This record gives sequence, C-alpha cells and structure tokens, in this order.
Amino acid sequence: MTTATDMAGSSRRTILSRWPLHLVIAIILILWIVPTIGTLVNSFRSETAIRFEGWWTAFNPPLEFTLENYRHVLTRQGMGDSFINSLILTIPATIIPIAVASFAAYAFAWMKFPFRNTLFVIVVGLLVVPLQMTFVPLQILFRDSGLAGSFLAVWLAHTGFGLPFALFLLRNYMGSLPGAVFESAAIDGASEMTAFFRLALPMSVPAIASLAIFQFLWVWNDLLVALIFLGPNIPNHPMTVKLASLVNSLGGEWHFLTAAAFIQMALPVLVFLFLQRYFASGLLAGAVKG
Amino acid sequence: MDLSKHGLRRFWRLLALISVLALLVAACGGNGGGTTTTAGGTTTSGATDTTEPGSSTTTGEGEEIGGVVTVIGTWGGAEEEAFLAMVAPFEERTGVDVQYTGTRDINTVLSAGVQSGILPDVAGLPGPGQMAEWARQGALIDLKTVLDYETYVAETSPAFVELGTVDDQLVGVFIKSAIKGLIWYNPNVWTGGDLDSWDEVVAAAEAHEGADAGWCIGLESGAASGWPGTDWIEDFVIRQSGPEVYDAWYQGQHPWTSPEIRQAFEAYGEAVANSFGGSQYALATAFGDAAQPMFTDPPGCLFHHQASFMAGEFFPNYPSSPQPGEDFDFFIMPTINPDFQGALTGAGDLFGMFHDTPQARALMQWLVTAEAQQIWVDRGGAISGNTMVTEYPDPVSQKSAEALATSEVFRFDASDLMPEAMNSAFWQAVLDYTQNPGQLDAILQRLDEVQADAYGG
Amino acid sequence: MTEDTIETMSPDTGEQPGQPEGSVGTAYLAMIGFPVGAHRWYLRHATAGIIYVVTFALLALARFVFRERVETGFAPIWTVAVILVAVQLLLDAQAIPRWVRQRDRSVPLPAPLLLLLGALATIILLPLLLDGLGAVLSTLFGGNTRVGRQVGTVIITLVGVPAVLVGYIVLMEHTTWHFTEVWQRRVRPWLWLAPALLFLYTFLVYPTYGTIRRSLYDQAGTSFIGLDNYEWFFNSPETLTALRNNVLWLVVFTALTVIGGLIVATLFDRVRYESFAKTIVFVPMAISFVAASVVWRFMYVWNFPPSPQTGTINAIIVALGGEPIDFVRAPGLNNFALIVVAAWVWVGFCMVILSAGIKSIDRELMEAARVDGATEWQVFRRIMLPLLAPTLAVVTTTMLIFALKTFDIVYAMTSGNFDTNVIALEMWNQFSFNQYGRASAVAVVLLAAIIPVMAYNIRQFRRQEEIR
Repeated sequence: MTTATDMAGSSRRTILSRWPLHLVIAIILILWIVPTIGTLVNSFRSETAIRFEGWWTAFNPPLEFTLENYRHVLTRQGMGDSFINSLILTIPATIIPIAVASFAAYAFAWMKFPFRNTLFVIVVGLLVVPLQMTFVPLQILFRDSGLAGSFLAVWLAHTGFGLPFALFLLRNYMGSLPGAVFESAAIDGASEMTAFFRLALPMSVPAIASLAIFQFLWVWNDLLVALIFLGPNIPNHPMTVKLASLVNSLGGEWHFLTAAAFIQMALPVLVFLFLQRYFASGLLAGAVKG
Repeated sequence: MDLSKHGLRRFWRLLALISVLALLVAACGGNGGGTTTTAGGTTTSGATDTTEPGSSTTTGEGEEIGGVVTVIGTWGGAEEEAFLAMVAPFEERTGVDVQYTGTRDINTVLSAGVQSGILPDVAGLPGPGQMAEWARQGALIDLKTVLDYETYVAETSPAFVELGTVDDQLVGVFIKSAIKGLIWYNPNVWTGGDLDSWDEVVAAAEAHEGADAGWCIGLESGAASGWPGTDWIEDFVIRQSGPEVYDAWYQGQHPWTSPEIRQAFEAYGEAVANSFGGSQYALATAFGDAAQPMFTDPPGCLFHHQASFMAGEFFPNYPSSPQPGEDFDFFIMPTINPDFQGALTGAGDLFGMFHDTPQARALMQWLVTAEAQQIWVDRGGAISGNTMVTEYPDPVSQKSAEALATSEVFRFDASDLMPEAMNSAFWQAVLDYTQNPGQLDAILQRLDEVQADAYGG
Repeated sequence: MTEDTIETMSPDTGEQPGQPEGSVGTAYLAMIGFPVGAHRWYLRHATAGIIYVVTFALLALARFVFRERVETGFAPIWTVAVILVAVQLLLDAQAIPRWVRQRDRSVPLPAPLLLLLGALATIILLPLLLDGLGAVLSTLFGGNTRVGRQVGTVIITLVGVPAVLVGYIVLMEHTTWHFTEVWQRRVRPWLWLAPALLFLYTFLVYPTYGTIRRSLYDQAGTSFIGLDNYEWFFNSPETLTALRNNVLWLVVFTALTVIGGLIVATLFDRVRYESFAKTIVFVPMAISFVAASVVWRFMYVWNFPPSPQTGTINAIIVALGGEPIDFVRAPGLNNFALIVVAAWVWVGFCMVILSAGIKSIDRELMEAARVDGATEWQVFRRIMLPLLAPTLAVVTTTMLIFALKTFDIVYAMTSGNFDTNVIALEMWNQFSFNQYGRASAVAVVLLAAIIPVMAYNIRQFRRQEEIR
C-alpha cells in the first residue's frame, strides 16, 4: 500500500526513497566507466609502466604521470591538417545522408505507392551489404568520374553506406507519429510539402539528432572507407589514418593509442553533449497534440 | 506598348545570347583549367591541387624537380619517422614533396588499387608473393629502366636482386632487411658464449642452468599472431632438410604432412614444452615483450629465438633497459644437418613503383643508395639492403649485418613467399599446434588441404 | 530596361499559391538557397529570370576566374551543367516575353521532359554549386591554401546540400502541378524517393549485383563455375566455425545490447542526472574499434602467474583468490569475452535510440496510470513497452544485422584465431587472399541470412499500418 502511494505522486518521490534505483544506476555506471578509466590512467603513464604494471598501481606513491604520450601524438607531423580533414570529411558526410533520407523516409511512411513495404525492406536489407565488397566497383566509378581521391568521393560513399540505416530509423520514427495530425493537416488543405516541413520534420527532431550522432561517429571513426577512397591523395587523409599509423608494422608502440583514443573521442563526446538537449522530453508534446 | 514589347524581346534575346556565350567561354576555360591541373595529376590520380605540373623537369639525382611523390607503406611509428628522415635530404635536394602514409591494411589498399588503377606513385609491398602477382598483372614498373641497374646489382646481395625480379623485370627493391633465426641471450645469465651445434643449444636449454626454462617464446602479434612460430619452423626446415626442400615447400610442391615438415614442427614443439610459462605464455605474450623474463631476477629463460630487429626496437624499451653487448647478445641458430652448413633466413621491406613520374623515379633512385639507407641504419634496428652500408651504430647490429653479408645459403622468410591464404593458414596452424600439441596430424592435414587450394589460381 | 520596368509589366495576377510559374530554370533559385516559403515571391516571372541568369553568369565567371582553385574532378560535370543551363536559358528566353505579354502560365516544354531536365540539372548542379561557390568562398577566407579552400567547400556543403534537396522537392512539386490529382499521387512518392534511391543504387545495389555475379566465377573472375564457391563455403572448417560463432553473436550480442539498452534507458529516464549517466554509457560508442581493443586489453590481459596481473579482471580474480584466466584465448569463453566488448560499445547505441522513443511517449498517459495506482512495473509493462514496440523493432533489427556483420572487434582482438572467426572476417580474409569469388560468395550468404529478419520486419510494418 505504502509503495503504491509513494509511486503515485512524483513530487513525493525523493532521492532517499528511491535509493535502490540510484544504487543500480551507480553500479551500471561504474561497470561502464572502468575500462575507459583504466585506459585514461594508462594514457598518462610511461610505456614500460603500461606494459608491465596494472593501471591501478599508478595511484601508489610515488606518483609518476607523464604527458609524453599526448605530446607524442599531438606533435606528430601533419596532425593538425588531419584533424581538419576529419572535420571536412565528417560534417558533410553527416548532413547529406540525413537530408536525403528525411524526404525518402517521409515518402515511405506517409505516402501510398505500390511495393512500398517490399521496397523498404530491400532498402533495409542493404544494411547488411559488406562495405569491403563495394570498394573495387566504387573505386572504378570514382576513377571514371574523376572524383578519386577527393573529399566528395568519400562524402558520397558515406552517404550511400549510411542511407539504409538513416532511412530505417527515420521511417520508423515518422511512421509512429500520430496519423491524425497529418489527416487534419490534409483536410486544412496543406500540401505534402507543408506537412513534411511543418509537421513531420520538427516532430522527428529526436530521431534526427540520434541519427546525426551515429552518422557522425561512424564517419569520424572510419578508417577503411577514407583510406580506400582517398587512397594516394595523402594530404586529404583524416585523423584515423594518421592515428592508426602510430603503431609500427611489427605491432609495437601501441601504447600511444591510449592517448590517441582520448584525442579522437573528445569531439564526438562533445557533439553528443551538445545534441543531448534535443532528446529532452516535452519537446514533442506540443507538436503531437497540435 | 508595341515598341517596348519589341525592345523587351530583343533585350531578352540579347541577354540570353550573351549569357550562353559567357557560359560556353567559362566551360571551355574550365576545361582548360581542368586539363592543365590534371596534367600533373593524372599520374597520381586524384592528388589534386598540390600537384603542379613539373614543367621544368629533368631527371637525375640532385637536380631541382619539384612536384609531389605519393608513398604508401606499412611503416608506422618510429619506422615512419625513420623513413621520413631517410627522404628528408632527398626532398631538400630535389624540391620534391614526399607524401607518405602508413597503414596495416596495405594489402587491401593496393589490391583494390591495382584493380581500379587508383594507386600511389611508390609503395611498400606486403611481400614477394603479392609483388609477383601485381607484376604479372602489369601494375608494377620495371625498375631496370629507372635505376642504374648495373650499380644496383653490384651494390645489392644477389638474393635480394633475385627476390625483386619477376619475369626478368626488376619490380621490387629492398629498403631495409632483417635476418632471422638469431638466438638471443643475456650474457649475464648464459655465460657459455656462442654455440655452434644445435645439439649443444638443446642440451643447454634442457639444463636451463640459472633460469626457469630454456626458451622465451611469444607469438602474439595482432592480426599476424603466430608468425614468430613460423620463423622457428622455417629455420628448422632449412637447417634440417636443406634449401631444396625449403624451396619446394614454399612453392607448394612439398606436402606439409611429409616427415621433413613434421619434424620441424616437432622440434618447435619441444622448444615450446621447454619454454617459460609454456604454451599459455607463448600464446598470450606479444612477441616483442616475450624475452622480458631473460632480464628479470631470477631469470625466466636462457634463450630467445627472434629476428635482428629485436636489438633496435624492443630490447631498449624493456623495464631494465638492457644495453647491446652488455645485457643482450646473439649467436646465429647453428647448423643442424652438416650437409646444409651456413644456412640463413631473413626478410626485408620491398618497395615498388606504380607510376612512372619523374618524381617517383628520382625517389626510387635515392632510396637504393647507400647514403639513404645509412640514415635508417643509424637509427638502429635495421640492416641495409645495400652492401655498401657497413657502418652500424652498435656491435650487435654490426654482427647481424656481417652475418647477412657472409651467409652461404640465404633464403627469404618462407611464409612471406607463400600465397596469402597459405601464409595465414600457417600462422594459424602454429597457434593451434602451440595450444594443442596432440593434434599435429590434423593440423598438418588441414595445411595440406589449404596448400592444394591456395596455389591453384 | 530595368527590373522595375519588368515588374510593372508583369503585375501580380493573384494566382493560386503553388501554381508553377516560369520554367525549370526559375526553380534553381530555390536551390541556390532561398528558404522554403520565400520561393514563391522569387518565382515571379521575369524577376526570377533575371536573378537566375545573373546568378549563373556570375557562377560561370567565378568558375573561370578561380579555375585553379576548383577541384579538377569537376571539370566534366561543369561542362554538362553549363550546356544544360544554356539550353534552358534559350528556352526561357523564348518563353519569357510570352509570360509578360499574356501572363501565360504554361511552360515551354511538355511536363515529362521538364521533369527529366529538372532532375538531371539538379543532380549535376549539386556538386557544381559546391564547387563554384566553394572557390569564391575560399578566396574570401583561406586564400589559396588547401585547407582554406576545403573549408569553403564545407561551408557551402552545409548550406548547399539541404538547399539543393529542398529546391529539388519544390521543383518537383511545381512540375507535378500540371498533372491530375491522381497522377500527382502516383508520381510524387517516386520523386521524393529518387535522390535516396539513386544513392542506394549507385553505392550499394550496383556493387551488390557485381558481388552476386562474381560469386559464381572463379578466382581470376574469368570462368563461370556455378555454385562451387558456395560448395566451398559449406564445406570449409573455417567458414563453418565462423557460421557457428555468428549464431552465438546473433543471440547473445543482440540480447545483451537490446535488453541492456532498454534497462539503461528506462532507469536513466527516472533520474535528474540523466544526461550525465547517458554520456557515460555513450562514451564507448565514441571510441574507435582499434582503441576499444586497447581499452579491453587492459581488462582482459593475462600474465604468467608469478608475475602480477596487469589486466583489471584478472587482478580482481587473483585478489579474490582465484586463478587468472586468459579470456581472449580460453576455448569456449573467448567468444563471450569478445561479445562483451562489442556489447559494451553498442549498448550506448540502443540506449540513445530507445531513449528517444521513451521521450516521445506521452508523459501524461503514464502519470495518469500512476495516479490510478499502477505500479512502476505495470506502467513499464502495459504502457511503455507497447508504445516502444516500433522503436524496439528498429533497435533489434539493427543489432541483428550488426551481429551478422560483426567484424572489427574480432579483427582487432583475436583476428579470428582460437575459434573466434566470424563470417564477415572470413570474407575479409578471402578478400585479402585475392579469392574474390569466395569472398563474394561469403558476402552473398550474409545477404541471404538477412531474409528472416526482413520477413519479421514486413510483418511489423503491416501491423503498424493497421494500427494507424
């Protein structure tokens, strides 16, 4: 009885009464962060320490931390250029597929045409196409169109590769929006364009924000697509290529990857934090009811 | 009204005409611009703006050429720095910008590149087997037309010249090399000096006086895990059964289940059984870290079987920072069968040329010189492919270079010469055998199946 | 002859909104970046004509002046685009006086041809606009430096691509206005889908077709060998191990990530520090797979017992008095060890999507249930779960597909050794052995494996259709 009444009013649910919830969350968070913390600690230690001692021993006196790993990675020749290249590659390769997918997703969700579901399932099935198999045919295509080695080639390729998931996510999100909204809009004489720009798009912001994060991440962390399609155009190579070559051909010097991991991670995490507010609840409430 | 209408129409026609003309001029201008920039760019296929056509080009060393040469190789980290140091004087002298990138996925990059034609000017090649395949597809340029062939032959050990030659075309040159089959030891633990018979080595390892075990073995190497074990087996094959069996074996004409190969596996298995931490240690330990117990107190092992690069790239980073000559030294794995005296295996990093540009020619000409290769050698860990390089930074490197120069029977690392599928199956077989020594029959059987298949194409 | 004259010559006729005016050319205006709603104003007859003629003349001029700074790859596209624009200029020039005189709304070309021209021009104009304006912008910002130029291009892309797409839709809507209501409804979906389908065809369907074909040919790709590559696939011990492991991944990985993501998203939804908690769980998503393998090396690493354990988990095991385990190599266990790493990464993904789904659920519905005395579990089970079903379907499908495609974690941590091989890695191996026929066969098997998942999805869509 008491639990039921406790649950009833959200205002009465204080932190104290919900301690099991907080405990569970705390345990999950600790489990999740430990591997990262271990690497973070190690990234501030010398190579020998990383290889022959556990990361937690770093806190035993004498404390011996060093910025050497970060210094080595950041002062590498061409690091600044490769960072800018990564940005140049990632931003358009995030925007283009989302823009292309939102129109098509709307059509899949709210327009009627023959073979709609079949076509959509084929599109989603394309998610499974292994990218490695597309490299040679696409490279020949880029060579013939004169795009080989250009950023545009990589943008286009990432757009193609990212579209199935983008369509899948957006179509399902748009499809789950209340149909009544679109019906009343149609009765009011709104065109499909109006319905799309004024209703579907604003209401899909959370889905678009999640999509933006993932597409950003995939492109930002992608090594192979950039390496293959930029190929010999070395000044265009992104940070991933630069960081992967921190390790020598015999597999040595991998300890620099600890620092590299955090350098590369910084921007996506910032993007995530920035986009977080679009996930907040209540953003939709007005739109859905309108 | 009428007039203005006519005037208006005329205005529009005029405007349209002017616009069309302007656009056509722009289009032609655009094409003109396009072709001039691609003139230098066609060869590098997409190396765009920075590639200005090298109009004032003349070949020949030390002359101002300008322009760009693109290089993709496997080297990363300190190797990349060494390579960049190696080309720095070249860049200064010729004004050529050497753009380098290193990647472990070189095989995929170049394979896809050979099929589509999008390739760097110059590339580090994954191995002689792969090189031969590309050479037959006509992707690699015959370096006989690029280098001063006679000088190259005179300055390079014949084995390396031969390895870089496919169908009478020189398609690959060695930038640096390493010799394999060195038995490393810590002179403070193993005081018996160099041994010159394998039986003595086995006896010493069995006794492992002053250490926990005879050997330190580490097979972990990321995607290439297992290769240190293949080196062991190759060294046994060439010393037990001789170069003829060795050659037939890597060429796919000698079965894995034969007694010759089997006994090599078994000899390796004995070493694992007498190794520090046994098979579990061998499987889990990175090959570079494996010899670490040699320098601990009490020592974990007496000997470590590994290539010459250990001296430059791994030992110095151990916690006790061992010094060459004082804390570590080596002798060459001794002869087993007296019929095959002085056999030695080794490996090297091959370079090939995909585009015949003046810049690429100049770079290749520079890279094979003793002057260039000395730069890398001075940084430690590498043996030059050029026999004119005789100055080595420490006595241990000096000794390995001399061993290479004086070897009677030299063979390239067999697994590198095998087709990629065979090589990979070999690595995996070593891991399987180390983990389950009892299943040798099944493992060799499987290798025979792969052999029947992999050489087919 | 100024703009004013022309304006007065063509007074507002008060036609119904959305009526097409002008020709294909006028719609370029929208593409150049005029915001949606504003296009009607610009689409007025002659003003539009002048603006787009001038714009393109300027663009062409820019291309000419800054030609050294323009990507060489664009040269052929420029030529084609210029010819297209020229043709349209001629057509419009011929038609404009007629509009002015008769306020004639008809366009100078039959609608289907117009559609084709418009589509072609749009496709070609996309890179062209980026290129030309990129050159101008870069001159303003970075001068002749490489990065400066590229930054200009990026800025243009950010504005240009959405603008071009919006312009495309606007153009298509205007063109279809000529059609009857029925035809409009028939044609419109395809026009909206066209850009996406074009991308999908070029980058996925066309290579897939090649892959299927290639899987029926031998290593050299010259002779047809029927199903031999498939016979190899179902008889080779490596691929069979890989197949077995993939089944394990499909079940365990999918279950861990979807259930994990759901738990995490639901729990975090109830606390104030939600965004902090979500960031922590999301962080592994941001780590590249190479880095992830380093991160987990510090968790899993095994050291020969007398020496201290440097791996976190083994150190804990030893501290509790157990025997250290070599997680990555221990037979049977290692597959689970790899799946845990992958789950650690992907739970963040499931969480983000599921969380967005949870946020879209009407809060008042849940509060009402709580007021009526429903327990938290009942609220979750009876309200949240059913409303979340479509999102859960998306997440599960995606995770199933990723489990099928799993490659990088295995590649980085074990390279498929010690019985951890998976299908996608085997394909990669065959690819690097130059066995393109076999690699293609493996890829086709992967494609075929998706069919049951897709069948499930079709049912899901049908159900969704019925609900609304």
